[in-house]
Amino acid sequence: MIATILAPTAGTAAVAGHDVRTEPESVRASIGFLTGDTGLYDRMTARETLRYFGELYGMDDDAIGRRIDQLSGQFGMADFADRRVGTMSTGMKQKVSLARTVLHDPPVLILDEPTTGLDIVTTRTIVRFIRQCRDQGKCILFSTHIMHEAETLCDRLAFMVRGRITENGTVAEIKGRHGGGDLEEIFVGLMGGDHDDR
Amino acid sequence: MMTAKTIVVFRKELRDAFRDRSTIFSVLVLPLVVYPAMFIGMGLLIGQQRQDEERRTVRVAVSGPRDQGLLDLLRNDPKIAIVEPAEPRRLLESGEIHAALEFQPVRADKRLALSLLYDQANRSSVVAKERVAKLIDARRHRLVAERVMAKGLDTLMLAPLTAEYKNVASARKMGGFVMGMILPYMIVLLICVGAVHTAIDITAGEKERRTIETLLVSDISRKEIVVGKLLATVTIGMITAAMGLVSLGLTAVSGISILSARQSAPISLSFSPGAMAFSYLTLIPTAILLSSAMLLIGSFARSVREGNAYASYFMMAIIMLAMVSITPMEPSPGLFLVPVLNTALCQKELLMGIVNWGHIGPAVLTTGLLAALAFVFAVAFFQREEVLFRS
Repeated sequence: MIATILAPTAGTAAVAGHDVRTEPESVRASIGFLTGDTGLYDRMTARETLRYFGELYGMDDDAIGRRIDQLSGQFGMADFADRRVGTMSTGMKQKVSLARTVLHDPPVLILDEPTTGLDIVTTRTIVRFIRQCRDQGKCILFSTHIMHEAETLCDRLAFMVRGRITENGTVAEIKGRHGGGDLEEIFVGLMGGDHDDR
Repeated sequence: MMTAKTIVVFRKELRDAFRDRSTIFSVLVLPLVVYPAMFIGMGLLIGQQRQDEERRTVRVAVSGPRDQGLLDLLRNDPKIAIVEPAEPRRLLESGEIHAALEFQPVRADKRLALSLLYDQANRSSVVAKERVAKLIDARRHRLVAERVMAKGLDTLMLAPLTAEYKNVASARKMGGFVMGMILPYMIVLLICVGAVHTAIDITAGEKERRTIETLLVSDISRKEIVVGKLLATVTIGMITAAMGLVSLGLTAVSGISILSARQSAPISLSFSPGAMAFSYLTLIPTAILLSSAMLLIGSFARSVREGNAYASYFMMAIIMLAMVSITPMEPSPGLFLVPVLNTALCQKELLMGIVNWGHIGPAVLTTGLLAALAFVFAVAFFQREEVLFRS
């Protein structure tokens, strides 16, 4: 809904000052959106993919070229930039996807489990990049099951249990409220216990 | 409606499609290789069969008090072998002989009576019957002439009327006629075959491969996406049609395919580039209609499999409609309001050099209106999340 793929049944939200109901185009232009459902075209190379989305974001040729070179260096994509996506490993694809997400340098990023299923090296590259984006002052909505990532990356955390936010605050605030300890333990406690049968 | 982003989508879809081997097959291999080969193969087969028939010697049994004159004629035909078996009827049924000629005793009025037995269900027997019938006719004429001469009259009195039948259709018109029999149907079919794979692949295929969300979160409107995809589909359908026009046109003039096997009159295909281009342009509304309809089907379907299943039902209906154009008929004005069929009928006329605006106008108009409607539905479908995210 925030990415304007779905229309809200009631209420609204504002992204970078743009209303998702009345200005969906401006909202989409301000967001970089990455989930497990944002796949890439198998028959296109990484460079063609990025160029395609760059053109859709209205970037000019030179800007796209510069940005591709920059991201390709940052993510170590130079080796496979001209390979078709269909022949890439999961890690390579995820790097291309992330490059696609941040190509137009949006102020807001929505990243849904960007490191799931990736090898350690790729995970580190991605986590490092997300930290950079945070330090640049981008607003990042980051969802994960990996508490370690949440703890090291996020300024503010929200725990979501069965579709509802049950806890919300900085790491220190949350730990303070629950008598310190491990975030994972706090989360499991909020869920109502450590049983698998739900 | 046509924005820079539409063109971006159009270019990408086209490039993507041509990297797909099945697109290459339906756009190039099918019209340039498979269909011509099929038509030529069928033509050669039929030609071969006809030659075999002409060369074949048929066995004809003779019985009863024979007429020497007719018997001589039969004997002099090198492709007729006369046999005199005991049970001609049984042999005829088993196919060992091809016809049985039974002479009856000459009647008191001096009339010669005979019966020819043959098997209508057996091709060789039919050939035997035709050959013997010709000789019987020759014998009849001979007998008449003899009797007329015996009375001292001129045989010229036996021919009080002569008639000639002349085909005034020019070789060019005959060319158009020959092509017009099946070509319009083939072209409509080719637009479908070319467009269907791409249409389903860039709608249901995007859902299946989970690339649709990536596209939808980009800075482009749903309408721009649909227009871009439609343009790509129409282009591929029209390229397929162009390939078909050229290759099947050449196949028809080659004279060895089934497309022209039955024509005895000379045929030629000498289209001016202008006429060719015009006839090609009149296909565009139909290409838009078929493409929009298939995009609609593809956006509705959950998977490529489902999309292809729906599309095949749709194509069956289209093929039935287009097939009506193969029947030789003088089309009533109402038929030019029937989508797809009207295009095939107009193509038929245009191939023969007939430009009838009373036909082309309604055809283009109704097809155009329906195409616009299908397009509006396709865009509306693309706005609906329950349709886009059904998988």
